Amino acid sequence: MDQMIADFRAPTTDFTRMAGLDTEPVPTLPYRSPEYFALERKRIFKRAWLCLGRAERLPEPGSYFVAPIEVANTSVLVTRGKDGAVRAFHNVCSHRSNTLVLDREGSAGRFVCRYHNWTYRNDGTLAGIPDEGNFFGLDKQKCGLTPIAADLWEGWIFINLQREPEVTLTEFLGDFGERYRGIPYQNADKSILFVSHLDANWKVIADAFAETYHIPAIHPETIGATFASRENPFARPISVQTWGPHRSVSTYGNPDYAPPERAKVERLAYSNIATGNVLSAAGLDGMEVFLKHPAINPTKSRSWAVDVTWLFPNFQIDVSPGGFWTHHFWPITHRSTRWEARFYMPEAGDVWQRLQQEHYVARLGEILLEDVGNTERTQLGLDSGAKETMPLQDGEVMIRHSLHHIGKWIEADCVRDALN
Amino acid sequence: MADKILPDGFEALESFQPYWGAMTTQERRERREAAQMAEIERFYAAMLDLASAAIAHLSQFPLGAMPAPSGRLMALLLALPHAAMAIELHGQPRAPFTPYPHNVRLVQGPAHFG
Repeated sequence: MDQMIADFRAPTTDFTRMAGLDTEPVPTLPYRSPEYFALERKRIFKRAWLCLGRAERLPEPGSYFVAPIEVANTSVLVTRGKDGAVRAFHNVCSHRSNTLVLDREGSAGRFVCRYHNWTYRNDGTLAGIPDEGNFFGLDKQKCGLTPIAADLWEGWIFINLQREPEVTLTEFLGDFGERYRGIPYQNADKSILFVSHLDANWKVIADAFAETYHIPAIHPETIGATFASRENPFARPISVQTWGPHRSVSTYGNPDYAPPERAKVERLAYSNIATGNVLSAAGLDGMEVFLKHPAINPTKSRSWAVDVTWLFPNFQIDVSPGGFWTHHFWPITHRSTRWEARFYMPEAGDVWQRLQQEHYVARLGEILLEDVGNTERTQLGLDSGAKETMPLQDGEVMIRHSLHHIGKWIEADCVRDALN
Repeated sequence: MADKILPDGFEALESFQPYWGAMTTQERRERREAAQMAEIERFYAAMLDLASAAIAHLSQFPLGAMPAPSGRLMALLLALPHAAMAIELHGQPRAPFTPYPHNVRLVQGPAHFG
């Protein structure tokens, strides 16, 4: 692990050099080239372990959900079997390759293909074929669903689209997987979900959530005053960490933020609950163990807002004083992306808490729209080819680190080389 | 006899109920985004005035089991934070420099009235 700490009050921070990265402008081609996207598809998304979210989405034997993976032209059926095991399959019938499960999630012991009623158990084995005798020596044992490698780490579900993954999930996560062990994720079984299809490269959107340099400009009213202050006017990070292709930045929060006098509804909504900051979904109750974990707010700064942790290639976990949320950036084409942001929060126990949640979600909607609304404008600029490169400042170190490792995976003929 | 629209004491909010009384968080977002500033201001002022009384009334019931008139009042109360985005943050119905219409949607809201 490399943990880099800098004083945001100094003339400059020095995260980029400490992370061993160069400081030259980075190329824009990876953001607008269909050819580069084809390489990302083949070398990254079909070789890396990809996170599909929390195992709490599969609360009991029989639970399932379907995750479209457009970049791999497939959809993945994830199930929990009677034995409790989580398994993943291509959501494709073994008969004529029809799409098997049509809804997004649910609970079922068996799946029936709507084309000819072929039936599967949720462990992927074939249970029945109508008029089986009229086939020609069909071996039912070989007609199960096509499995996809799946594994769990700390309650997070990962899949790998290589038939035989070159590295295990443990090896892929490396030191990150050790450092983030044992975090008691709060309210992991309840979440709200924002979704958007955006006309922008997946990295443009991931980058938008990877630095706080933009906050005073894009979010002046929604969260400007909570992420920047007179002592840190440009919202510089507190610390940065990297682990192989994975990375995290601990961001500054203004510890003195209080809603202004005129914000009567904000004051009302937060009058009965201590949340730590406005990006917190839930109250601080029960958060002590979570917040004491050494990986969270790693410098234990009083001026802490959020840790943004970016797992290679397309998944971010954010933790803040009141809980956690995630971003998925699912590429569709070189300039379109399905973005999903899931914020975990408890079921409200009373009217006060429900009102605070509504204020929180309403503000989130505004913040997220400020962020992703801007990405399509960025893509238009990138598509123009007017700029061959972009200069990145020190606070944008995670973007540089991401591009560096994407390039490395594209170059590497085997995954272990990409990781080393 | 038909239900009353809102519980006793909240008659002043009845004229706002058809527009601002949406039952999901996403619909409440959409209503505020589509409204004119003057309409948002009128609702904000009227609802804020009765917010404490509404919270006191609604706190008698479990969130999942409110009588229909109280449920409608709860939906109006929950529209208040959305109106506050326009009044207290943006000074206009929608965030400056954001696209509209847009397709950033809350497809799964919080439990109860979400």
